[in-house]
Amino acid sequence: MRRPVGGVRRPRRSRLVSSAAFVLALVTLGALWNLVFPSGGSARAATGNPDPNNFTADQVSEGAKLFAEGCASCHGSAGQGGTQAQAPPLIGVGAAAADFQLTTGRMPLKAPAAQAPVKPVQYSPEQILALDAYVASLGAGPQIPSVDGASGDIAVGGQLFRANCANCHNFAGQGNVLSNGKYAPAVTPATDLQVAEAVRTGPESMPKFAPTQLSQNDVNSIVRYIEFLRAPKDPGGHGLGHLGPVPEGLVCFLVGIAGLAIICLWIGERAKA
Amino acid sequence: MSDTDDSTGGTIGERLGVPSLERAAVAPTAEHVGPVHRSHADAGNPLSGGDERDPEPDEAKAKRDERVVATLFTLSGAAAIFFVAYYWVANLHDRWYNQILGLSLAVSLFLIGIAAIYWVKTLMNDEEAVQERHPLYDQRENEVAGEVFMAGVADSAFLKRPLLRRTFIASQVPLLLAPVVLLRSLAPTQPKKAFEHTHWKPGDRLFDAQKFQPLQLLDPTKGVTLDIGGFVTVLPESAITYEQTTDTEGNVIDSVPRVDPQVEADSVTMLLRLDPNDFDPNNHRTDYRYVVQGHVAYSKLCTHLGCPVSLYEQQTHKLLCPCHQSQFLVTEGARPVFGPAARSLPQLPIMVDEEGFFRCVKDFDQPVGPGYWERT
Repeated sequence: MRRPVGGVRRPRRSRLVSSAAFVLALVTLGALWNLVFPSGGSARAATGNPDPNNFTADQVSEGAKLFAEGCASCHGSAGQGGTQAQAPPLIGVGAAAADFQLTTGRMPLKAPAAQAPVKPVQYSPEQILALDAYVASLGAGPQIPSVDGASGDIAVGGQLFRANCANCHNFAGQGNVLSNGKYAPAVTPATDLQVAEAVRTGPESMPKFAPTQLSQNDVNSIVRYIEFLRAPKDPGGHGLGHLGPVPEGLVCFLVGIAGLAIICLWIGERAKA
Repeated sequence: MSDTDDSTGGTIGERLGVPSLERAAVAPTAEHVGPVHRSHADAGNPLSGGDERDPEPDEAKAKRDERVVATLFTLSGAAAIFFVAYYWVANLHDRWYNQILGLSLAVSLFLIGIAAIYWVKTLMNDEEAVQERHPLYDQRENEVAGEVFMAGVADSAFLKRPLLRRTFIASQVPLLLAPVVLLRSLAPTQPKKAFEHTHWKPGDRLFDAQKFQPLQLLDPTKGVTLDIGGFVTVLPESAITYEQTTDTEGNVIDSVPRVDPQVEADSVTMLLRLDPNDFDPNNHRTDYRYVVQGHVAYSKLCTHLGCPVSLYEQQTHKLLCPCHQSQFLVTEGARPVFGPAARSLPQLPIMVDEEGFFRCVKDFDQPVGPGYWERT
């Protein structure tokens, strides 16, 4: 049978096909955007201080002034802690805790919330060291640790990370939710020093890992592994946020299955025409 | 409505563009092949697709088309050969290894498809065939089957002889029970006993499940110690075995620790260290006999479905289960405060010996992990 010449032809693209093509175009655009402008992974340089715990009396007095200005309203005039549970006493938290909170911009807190968010750092590196010195002078606590990722073992670090950190921070260090609006943040934006400080001091919800539990070498290995996590090899071409198999499956489903469905529709449209 | 019908004329089906049954069911016979005039109503019929083709094919053009298809097949084969070769030759860790493999396979398959379509479109006859469907339901056949069946019933005297009928039915009931009884074999032989106990034995030392070192209270040089706000996953000493490699003279040259998965499966436990003042003194769930200087041990298996409850918020003293968001409050005997879990995490009775090692006093006093059918 032959089609008569000049027979009625329907428009090639029905509304369904063009809207499906639009969705596909959006997904492709989003994927390209992520490829061109990947987010995260910008590690801040560690403070280059040879012995950060060797504080001078000047630093302590300077820190005391800054503390009275910026911290005492919540943490108390002598760091004894505020009335709210969110303003814990700072006696005995050590320079490491102060350094972590200040260099990540979490402190000073803008407003009470479930958890202190990472913000632009409010103090200069010298001011932060002065505040560290003052907090350290309040009572003995964890000192600012030294960390050397290059000396760590990445395989051991991966094992330790999965055993101790991945529970909350996700196996690729991307973070996860906790209870009541709290969350475990992504570890990849933190500097090596900040990671070590967090391990030793247990900021906010995070448990504290003593040197008798995770040794200095263990922390170096974990840091080395986190360095790897900042730019992991993505065998699929794109990490999709390293959130695991669920988003990967979703992309396969949306791009793969939907793409095939659109092609089938297109073939059907052609056959009808 | 009838006015409108009259003005347009024809059947409803024709006006909706649905081809009438007779037209769709026309089987192509010899005289139908070749130019046939068709009405415009056929344009919407998916069965009537197909390209316009020269009824008398040009042999030279056919030769050209054949070469095109052959080229496509050759390229497809070349891509497949490239796939196999690249798989063996290239380095697995190359940046684009997966992509190149996938792409070459995709090219190979895609070219086969294109070649097949080209073949069909250019070299094959454009012929339509319609296969008629049988009627789906035949009333007469049904009646005949019914008659045959009833004749059989009458012949068997099933209705006439009640003794026969009743004994037959009575014999079938136990037979139906037989497969139900067999289901019992799918369950463990003694489920209650197997689930009631874990591998913790009195006197077992608590070992760090990751570093395979004993937990210590006093001396950090002898084992792992915790700070306040710390926690660690522990296993009974017996869970850890050492796979030893010896040289020819029998000296141990390597010793690799292994965890017995059978032991780990039910005995995995968390040792947490809290400020002793943080425990809620009014709660009756914590067994304070087994809290040693703020150290307390709970089963790591969620009482909902047995996931590892390993997210610990040291400020709020909550243990979170990652699977269904159950939360257990450690300061109140690890009772569930949120989520689907209904029972508290079982507390492991622990003590510290004179050397400072943490030891198990006795097994959990209740089954760990999720509930089961004989759990009371």
